[in-house]
Amino acid sequence: MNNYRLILCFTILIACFSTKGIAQKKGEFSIGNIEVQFIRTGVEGTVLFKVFSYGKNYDRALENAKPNAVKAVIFKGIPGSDISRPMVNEYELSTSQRQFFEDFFNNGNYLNYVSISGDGSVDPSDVLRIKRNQYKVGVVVSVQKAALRKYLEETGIVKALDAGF
Amino acid sequence: MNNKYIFLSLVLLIIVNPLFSQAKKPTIMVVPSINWCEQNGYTYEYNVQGRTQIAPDYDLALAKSTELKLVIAKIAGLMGERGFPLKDLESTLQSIKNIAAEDMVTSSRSGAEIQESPLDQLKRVARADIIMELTWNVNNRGPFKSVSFILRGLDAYTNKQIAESVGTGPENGSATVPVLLETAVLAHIDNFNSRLQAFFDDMFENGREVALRIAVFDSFGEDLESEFNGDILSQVIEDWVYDNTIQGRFSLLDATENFMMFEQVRIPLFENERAIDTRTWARGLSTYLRKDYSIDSKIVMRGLGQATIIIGER
Repeated sequence: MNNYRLILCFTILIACFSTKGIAQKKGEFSIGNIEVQFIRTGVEGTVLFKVFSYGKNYDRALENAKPNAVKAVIFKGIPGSDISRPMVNEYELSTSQRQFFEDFFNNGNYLNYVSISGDGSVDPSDVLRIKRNQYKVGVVVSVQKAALRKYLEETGIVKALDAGF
Repeated sequence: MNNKYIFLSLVLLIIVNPLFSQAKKPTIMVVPSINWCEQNGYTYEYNVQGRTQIAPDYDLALAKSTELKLVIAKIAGLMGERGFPLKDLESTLQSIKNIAAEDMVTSSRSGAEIQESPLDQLKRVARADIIMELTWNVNNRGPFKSVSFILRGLDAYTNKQIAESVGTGPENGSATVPVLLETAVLAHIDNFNSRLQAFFDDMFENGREVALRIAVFDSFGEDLESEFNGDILSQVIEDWVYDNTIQGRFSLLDATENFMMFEQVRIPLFENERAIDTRTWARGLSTYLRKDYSIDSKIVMRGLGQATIIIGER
């Protein structure tokens, strides 16, 4: 009987932890580790840079490049470029703003502001297999920073330069 | 019942009104630096008490340099997109000339001409609250060219540098200078604007930083160390400034019996739900001196940011 209770407790405990894990993955918006390398100022309103993403395989890593590129522009800034400062400070995000970004990235809205530069081919030297199930892929992306800023200003996430005047 | 609604509406109005108040928008103008004007031959010399001074000749620069016009137009376009249309240097210069010409030929039926003090004449220069000072240099290395670009934002009245973006673009063997300049503008404007934004954020949080100068007309008969109602005038003024700044923040740079210079004076952006500038704020001191100490004074302004109160006459 005691063994049954013990097994039941363990099962409940494992279930709780796994639920929490899923909830964190699905519910919480996170920025994660993003590595960027500025290439050059693109055509007006855009910025061109290389973003390194991680994934359990090559395709998944490549898939992560676009959201990571947009996150880098919003939350990190691109060192060496004209947007070296972030548009939004992650630690200042309110709950509703976190929810906004969660929706923004989950419903694919961010795709309006990012594109893979050129024909999408990746330099072989930018593909690294770190572990058995982890790849790191660097891809050149173009982010429409002006349009993105405008959108964030309109939604009230970022303050416009003339706000308050 | 009706009274209750009216009362509630009034309370709501009082609560909501400050939310719609807007601070006075500073004017921004792009101006080439004296260094750039000198390097490109757009300066003139004048003599002040035996010493030769150099001044930028903006008219000449705008008439001859297409590159300057291109850069100014580009910056103006990008700033306009960010909700900050710029004051145009060329139009401002033209407007000053037109006003001067009109004033010269304007007279009343009796033949009286427009009254203008020497101070009015002195003030007829191209001014803005924030100057975007522009300098660039084209570097040549064999067939390759690059552009070094300096963009500084200067608060015209505290003389502080409030934003900057500096850098040298990559070398290019095929691009023309205008293309390199356009790229340089695109490569620097956002960094400049993020610093400008930080300046505005600080202003909204800690108040507008202004300067206040107190001077005395020689006809006054007293000075700033004279006693009025048992108080020393300079002390009265300093106490008023303390009471009417945000967190009492100011620094008294210099004070003599004829002169006081306050800097880093942080004045509120709003007073009674009304946007105020330095003039409105300084008028408070002028009114206080007149009502409580029967001292007349005159306020002279320089844009939004610097006021001089001259004590003794109106």
